[in-house]
Amino acid sequence: MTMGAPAIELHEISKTYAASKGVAVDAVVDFSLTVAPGEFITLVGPSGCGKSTMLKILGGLINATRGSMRLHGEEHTGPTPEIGIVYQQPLLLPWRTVLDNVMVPVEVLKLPKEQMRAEARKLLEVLGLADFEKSYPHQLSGGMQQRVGIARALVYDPAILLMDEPFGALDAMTRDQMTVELMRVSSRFGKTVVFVTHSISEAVLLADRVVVMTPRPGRIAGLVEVDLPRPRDLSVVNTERFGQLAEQVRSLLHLDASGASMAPEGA
Amino acid sequence: MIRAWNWVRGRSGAIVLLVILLAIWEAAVRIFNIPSYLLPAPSDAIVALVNGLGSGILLTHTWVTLLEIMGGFAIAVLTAFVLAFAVTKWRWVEKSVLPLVFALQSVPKVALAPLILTWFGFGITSKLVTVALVAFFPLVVNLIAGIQSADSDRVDMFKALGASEWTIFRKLRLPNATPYIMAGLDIAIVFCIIGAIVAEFVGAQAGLGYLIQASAINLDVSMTFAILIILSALGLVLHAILTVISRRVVFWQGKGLEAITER
Repeated sequence: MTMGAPAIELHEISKTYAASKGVAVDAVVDFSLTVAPGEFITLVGPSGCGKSTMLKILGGLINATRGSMRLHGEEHTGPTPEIGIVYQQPLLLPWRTVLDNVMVPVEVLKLPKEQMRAEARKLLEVLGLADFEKSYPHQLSGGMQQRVGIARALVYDPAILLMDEPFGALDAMTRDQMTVELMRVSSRFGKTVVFVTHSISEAVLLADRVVVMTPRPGRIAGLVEVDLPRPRDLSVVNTERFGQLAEQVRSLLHLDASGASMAPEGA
Repeated sequence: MIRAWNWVRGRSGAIVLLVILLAIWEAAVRIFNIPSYLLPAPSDAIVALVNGLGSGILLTHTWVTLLEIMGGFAIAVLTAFVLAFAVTKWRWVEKSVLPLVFALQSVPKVALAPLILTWFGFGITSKLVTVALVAFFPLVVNLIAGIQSADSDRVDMFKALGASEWTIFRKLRLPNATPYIMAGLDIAIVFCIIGAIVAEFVGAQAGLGYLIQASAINLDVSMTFAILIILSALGLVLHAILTVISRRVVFWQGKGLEAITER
């Protein structure tokens, strides 16, 4: 790790899929972005704009067709414990208790178990799951399951957290609650976060900077600096400044200014 | 006690029907004076069962058949696991061996019993081989289907942590396959009983299949029915044991795990 280097540097990342009948499909084109350590980036765009693809490339799960990536100044090519990922679905293992689910990365990365178990318990407590460490996933609500997913992504203390519409499948009320909780947790742990969403208000509420993407092929349409003071809570949504920022995002997405929000993704 | 009573009540229809059928059978044998070497009355079969158990002859042969079943079952389970490992670990095994396994599935394995007898003799070895062969295919097919059923998102979750194929196998694919494995074991254990009896029919010195043939030659049909009762009981007990184990091992199955996806 180089001191003072940006947490993430993406240089002209492109991803082309070879579709059937030899037709190539561009998912992401020339995506360049520099993220400072501790910065909270939200990636917003319509369905199929390649934002999830971008996140998979960042996570080392798929290779970019072109371009290069650096994390903290070092070349980034594949899966790394520097990154933690929270997925759209909690992806818990139903045969494991909550605590043992959080311990999955510890086992895979062969970290000291006893010490990390204490770490995992602390995280569960922070996320309000202290009483559920012995429960099984099927005994938890959707919101609680996703909190276990967050604890699992944080347990090995990665510097960077990638979140792929983590609250997309939750009901509106749980979603608000989780958003507030995420702001609390992320500021507490000082992570660099890249958060993918298709909700404009979620994007503005959470972000230091919003990255707006165009529909397929996904390019960066523009960046919006969010200068709302922190700590924020849900009431910030009602301020004039929030409205202006959301409007900026909306215009970059070429949406009707009448305030119609984007339709939820079908996927 | 209450549970047992509820169990009986839940099946009262079947029990009543069984009793009626047995009564008709008993009555028919008595009224029409059917000779016992053709069709014994249920009561004769019960008497033969009690006498056979008392003299120890039924227990001895049951023990032999049970050993064949358990031994052959164990061999089949071990081989199936080894093959499943190999299939997941090496792509060429999947490409070369797996199609052959699926093709051989359609061969009626019991038809091979005479051949196996020629190769392995009248002792227990030929029975173990037949039983293992019969049980192997449902096991391997279920095992491989189970292992391949791990969803790609969870596989990605492990890959993003840099997990090796072996780690993914142990921590995801295998536990994820347990419902399939338990279903395979349940099918296989019933096949094992069939395999053992057929193998004994073809040529044996002991076992319930051997005893059925011996009693048929002696026109002791009551004994044949007594053995059938034992075989049914054996099948039910083995199935029940697997059901109990299954409930404990796959307690998490179908528990609305992905409730979060149901919007």
